[in-house]
Amino acid sequence: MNRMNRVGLAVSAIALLFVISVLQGPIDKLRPQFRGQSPLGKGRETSMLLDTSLQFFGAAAMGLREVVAGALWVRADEFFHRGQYEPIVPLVRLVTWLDPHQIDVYSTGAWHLDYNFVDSQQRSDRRYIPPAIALLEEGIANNSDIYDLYFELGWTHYLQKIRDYGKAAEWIEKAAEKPAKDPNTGEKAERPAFVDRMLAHAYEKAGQFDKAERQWEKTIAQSESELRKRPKDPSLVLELDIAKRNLGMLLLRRGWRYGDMAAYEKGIRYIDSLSGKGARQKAALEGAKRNFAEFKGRGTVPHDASPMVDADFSVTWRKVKPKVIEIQGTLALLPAEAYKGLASECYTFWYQENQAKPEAERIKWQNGCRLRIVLADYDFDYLTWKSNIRSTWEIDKTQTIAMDEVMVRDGKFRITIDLSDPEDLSFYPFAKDKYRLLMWFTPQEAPDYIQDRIGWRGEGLTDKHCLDTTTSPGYRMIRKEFILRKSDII
Amino acid sequence: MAVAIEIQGLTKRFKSPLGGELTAVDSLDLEVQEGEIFGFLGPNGAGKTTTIKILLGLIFPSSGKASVLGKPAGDIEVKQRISYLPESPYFYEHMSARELLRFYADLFKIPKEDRKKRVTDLLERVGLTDAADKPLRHYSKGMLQRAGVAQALLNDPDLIFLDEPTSGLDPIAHADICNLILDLKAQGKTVFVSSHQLADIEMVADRVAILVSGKLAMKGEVKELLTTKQVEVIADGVSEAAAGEVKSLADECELHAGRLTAYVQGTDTLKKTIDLLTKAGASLVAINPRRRTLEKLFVETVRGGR
Amino acid sequence: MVIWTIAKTTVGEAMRKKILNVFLLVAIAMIVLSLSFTQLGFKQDMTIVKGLGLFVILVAGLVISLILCVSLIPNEIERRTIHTILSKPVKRYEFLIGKYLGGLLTLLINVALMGTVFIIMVAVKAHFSSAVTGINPEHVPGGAGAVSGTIRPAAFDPSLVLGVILIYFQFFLLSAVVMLFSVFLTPTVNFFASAAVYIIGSAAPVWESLYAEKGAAGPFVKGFYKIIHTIIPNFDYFNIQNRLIHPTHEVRSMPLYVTETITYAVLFSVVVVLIAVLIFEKREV
Repeated sequence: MNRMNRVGLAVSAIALLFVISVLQGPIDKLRPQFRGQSPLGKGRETSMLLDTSLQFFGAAAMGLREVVAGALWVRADEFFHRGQYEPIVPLVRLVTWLDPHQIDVYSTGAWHLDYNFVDSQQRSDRRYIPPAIALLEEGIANNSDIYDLYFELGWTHYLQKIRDYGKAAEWIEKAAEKPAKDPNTGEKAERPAFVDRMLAHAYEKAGQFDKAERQWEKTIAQSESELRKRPKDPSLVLELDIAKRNLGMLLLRRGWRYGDMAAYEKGIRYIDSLSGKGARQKAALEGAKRNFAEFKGRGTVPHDASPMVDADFSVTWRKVKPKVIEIQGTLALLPAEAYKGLASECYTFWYQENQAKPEAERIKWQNGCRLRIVLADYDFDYLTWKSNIRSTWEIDKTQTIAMDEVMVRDGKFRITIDLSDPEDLSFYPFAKDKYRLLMWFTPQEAPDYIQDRIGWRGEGLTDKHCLDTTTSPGYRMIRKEFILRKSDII
Repeated sequence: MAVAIEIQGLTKRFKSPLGGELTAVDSLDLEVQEGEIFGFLGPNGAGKTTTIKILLGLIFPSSGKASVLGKPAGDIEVKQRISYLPESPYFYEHMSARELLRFYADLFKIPKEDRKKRVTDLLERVGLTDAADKPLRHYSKGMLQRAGVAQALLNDPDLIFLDEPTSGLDPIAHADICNLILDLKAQGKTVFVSSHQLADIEMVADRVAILVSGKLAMKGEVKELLTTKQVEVIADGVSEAAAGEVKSLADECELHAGRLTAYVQGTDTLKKTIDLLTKAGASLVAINPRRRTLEKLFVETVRGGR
Repeated sequence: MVIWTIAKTTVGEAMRKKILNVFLLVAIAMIVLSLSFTQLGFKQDMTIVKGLGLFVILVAGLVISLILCVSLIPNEIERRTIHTILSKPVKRYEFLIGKYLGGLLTLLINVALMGTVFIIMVAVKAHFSSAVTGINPEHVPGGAGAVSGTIRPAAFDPSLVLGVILIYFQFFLLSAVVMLFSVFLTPTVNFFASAAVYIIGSAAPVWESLYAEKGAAGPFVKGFYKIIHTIIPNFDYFNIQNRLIHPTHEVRSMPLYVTETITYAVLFSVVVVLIAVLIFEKREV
């Protein structure tokens, strides 16, 4: 090779290096998403185990990050099965940092945090709720294209655990905007039907009845379209019926409780369209039709939830022994008499059937209400806290939050909250001087048949001493609070 | 006659592993004519293989010039017309002889139509037809050498470099190689042979050069180099006295069991010696011009060169 | 042509190298064995199967390309087989590129074999599995009932093919580097030098984060890192494991990214081979 050729080759090499340098620009831009980081840099704050030097571990692991993460997760699961919950938190953070796309880790990890840190009485540690939310929000930021974690956050945590139905509806709504994906190929797949159904339920529980109605209608339309494609599929028939029944009942209740006659009529139509109605169902439907016609004829509307029911709430507490508190009292929800003359009776027949029984066998109370109790540091007010959960990884181990609930039976309740087990010392440190003993009942958490009488917002609920209309404006609840000193408890 | 190889002031220095420099070839001047068999001799480490590698373009001179068939050493076009049989050739062991020749044929860009016939003919010529499809790792040294010869003839070269072509071969194989070299000359080809087998070189070579410690110590036509002005006289039945008289006339004289071997120069001296021996009653056995062996020349040159 | 002839011969020789075949067989065995992992649910199992499988191909590819290429040129020189080749009308660059091409083809055969087995194993596992979607039934006392279901995952994931291709091109580039070093380094030194280049090139995120950190460095330091970023081959580009193991994670412009990365590999290899050619022209054999 002569000198000219050699010079030419050298120049070509340098020129190519320059081209390579330019080519690296677009590659570098797209690169972060293949490393499991969002190109917009969002969603990383909450898992800041990360500092630059730790990139070495990731780099050094080269092709094994995901496998290492998977193996670590198996370890975490072992810890859980052995009842050792403490290591799970840092393990979850490490695993999700190594591999931000292992969906099951986020969902199971958050489930552990919310549900499985339990004391000797199986009461879960509320201090882990913010980290659970933090974990899921991070998981959502890193896996924002699929429905899975949105649904998990909305259903498992906000709806089931925290019972913040508004937030639940928000997150499940987001889930319903995202597709499912084939876990092996990533191809878009049909989102399972339960997502859209649960959204309708969530809207109902959150009192967003118009949205619930529209969502049920959407679900019904989807089921009908699916049924046209597969007319012989019995699961689709069942799915359709469930949707229609739920919508029908929602509309009927709006009619009975609040006098919405358009809803009442629509509800009747939906119930009428159900397939395979039994004799009782048919009788109930006929009853509803007659009732509707009667009201129409009279030119009036039902108003089951309007007349006030006095909850007649009373409560006392006493220290049985150190860290053992007994609470008892009365909550008059709901006496059987409260159901007399309700519009919903045309459908349920509950009152008349109860009255038809011999005196000794009659049900005196419609039970189902729960009184919720929190004994915690003074600065912790659960009712405001639950609506404003700030997702964070920090757990304040000096905090004390004991939460329980008691079923109201026949207008009375009684519970002993025992925090004295030595194993529970870390759960309830009682490090502060002042505490709050908070009790409440809210109609949103009550069964339908209770809401039928007192309304979803507590429109028909009153109490002489403990009615609260300020904690959640527009809502009526029963609330009682005691301020305790440390010596009152220990 | 045209010049096949021309070397002018060729020097090659290597960096010594212990530091400093090693001069493998030192200001070598040499010419090889087309159509001749040229013997390139020297002790181990003299620089023979280094010179050949420079001529083939495998390594590069530190200074000086070398040309092959009129082009600078290493020229790609020239390589189409030359070939090389290295000392103890190494080939890809997984290949058979046939595959090996096909491989080299591709490197020579021999057209496919000609390739098959040429390969078959060559295998037959070197006596490897039966073993042609066995992997080379099963070949003996002699068979490998024959495979090497075959690849060296593949392109029907004008100039062939043979480095120790008979080393490690049995006498028959020796003879085959020597015959081959003579055949090649008869075809008008130039053969450049580097060898320690001086008897073989003496037999086939037209001209030789002797390299000692990288320097050219001797070169010339074989006939001339080996021929002397002396005449060898052999006689039987020679007495000690007569031998003593011959000794004073001859350059060299040796008496052994009545047989006298003497080397004399000049016609007069020869005549006087014959007369002497005849008068002494000896029987003349032989009178020949004296030839040196190449081996002797080589040893003298190398020792003298040191 | 000459380059192709030399390449073919190189492949023939390499495929008979016992040590490479041992690595290939061990890798394939490990990929098949990973199928037996059935600890947790489908998604977790698949993480292990895919992650391990890709890792095995990566390591095997690394070892094969190092072992194969460190001796490509030196072996020829040591055994002197190069003499009977370069004494023929073969240009030095033809020899070099022919050897490189042969190495690439050998690597292609090995990676293709491993990749095929891997993709088949993943497809087999997927075909006989189902995945839970929605709330894990174990998380809800009494079962998840209305809020969970099962998906039958599709068996063949085409993105795995892209992943294997990218692994191949990673070693396409590494082989060029190894071959460049083999022109002037002994095989042992070359092995460690090339391994070092691979590790440094794979730790590119570290360089990048140092380079990208705002306010941390002046223009000289930044310029220095930019040069390092350009001249050290970035092997990290080829790692898309996360996307392959979690195909549900959407990435923008995957085909574009793959194309750009392959182009990068080819261009960079050309540069390296050019430098190797220049050095080899003057290499005494």
